[in-house]
Amino acid sequence: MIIEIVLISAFALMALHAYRRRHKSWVACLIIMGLSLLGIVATLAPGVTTLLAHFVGVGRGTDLVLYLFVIFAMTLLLHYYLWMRDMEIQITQLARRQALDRAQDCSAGPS
Amino acid sequence: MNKRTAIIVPAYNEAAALGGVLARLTSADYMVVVVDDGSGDGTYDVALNYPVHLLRHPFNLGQGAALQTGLSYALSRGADILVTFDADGQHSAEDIPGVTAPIQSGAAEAVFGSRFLGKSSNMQPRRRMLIRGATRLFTRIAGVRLSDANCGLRAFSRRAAGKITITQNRMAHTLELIEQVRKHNIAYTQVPVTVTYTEYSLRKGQPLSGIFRIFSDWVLRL
Repeated sequence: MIIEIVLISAFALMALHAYRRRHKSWVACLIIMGLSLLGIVATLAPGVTTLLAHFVGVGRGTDLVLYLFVIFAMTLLLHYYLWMRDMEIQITQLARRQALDRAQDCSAGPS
Repeated sequence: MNKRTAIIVPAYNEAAALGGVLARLTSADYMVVVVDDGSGDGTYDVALNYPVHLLRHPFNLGQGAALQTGLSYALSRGADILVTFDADGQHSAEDIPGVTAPIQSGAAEAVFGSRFLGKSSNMQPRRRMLIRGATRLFTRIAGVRLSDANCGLRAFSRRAAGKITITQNRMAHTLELIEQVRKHNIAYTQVPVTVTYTEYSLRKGQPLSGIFRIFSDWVLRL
C-alpha cells in the first residue's frame, strides 16, 4: 500500500532528523525516536492501536490516534500562545523603557 | 490646592487630527503627554510643534501599551491627576474638568467617562446598541456599575494610577483597567462626556467588529 510507504518514510525521516540533532537534547531525541517507532508499529500492525483503542473505550485504532493527535496539537498551540504572550510582554517592556529614556520635554515651547 | 493634571494622549497615525487636539489641550494649564505609538505618518513631527511631553514607541504596540507608557511617564513627572484622552478629536477638552472633579473633591480615585449618560452625541444607532450590549455583558461579569466600559476619556488619581498596570497592549485594556480598579478596591465613578464622531474618527477608529476582538483578547488573558 502506498500510504504505508509514505507514513513509514515520514516516521523514519523524523527519527533520522532527531538522531542527527541528538547533541541538542538526548531526551528530546529519545522521545521523538520513540514516537516514530510507535508510528511505524501502528502503520505495520494497525491491530495494535485497535487493541489499545478498545482498552480505553474507543471503537477504532485510527480514531484513538486522531484523538491523541488533537490533544497533542492543542497542547502545542497553548504552549506557543503563552510563549508568544510572554515575548510580547518582554518586547513591550523593552520598547517602553526606550520611549521613557528618550522622552522629550518640549513643554517650555516648541523646539 | 493646585493639583498637577497630566493629559495622556496615545496617538497612532493621527497626524491629521492630532494638531487640533493638542492646540486645544495646550491652551489650558495641563501637562500634556503624547505617546506616539510607532506611527509612520509624521504624528511625532506634528506633536513637536506643541508644548508637550513627547514619547515614541520604536514600533506599533497598541493603544493599551501606549497608555501604560504615558501613565508611567506622567507618574515619574509628579502628576497628581492622570487623564487619558483620545488623539482623534472625538473627545472635548471642555469635558476634562468634569472627569477630574470627583478626584479633586476626593469623591473617587478613578473616573470613567460615559457616552450614555444624559448628554447626546451623534453616535450611530448600530454602534450605540453594540457598545451598550457589550458593556452590560462585561460589567455584569466584572461586577462593576458603569454604563460605558470603552470610553477613552478617563481620570485617575496618582494613587490609583500607581496601582494599575496595563498588560493588554491592544484594545482589551479598556476592560483590564476596569478589572484592576475593582481588584485594587479603587473608588470609582462615572461622569457624562460628549463624544463627537466625525467621518475621520469613524474611519480611523475601531470597527464595530473590534468589540469581539476586545472580548477574545480579554478572555484569553492568561
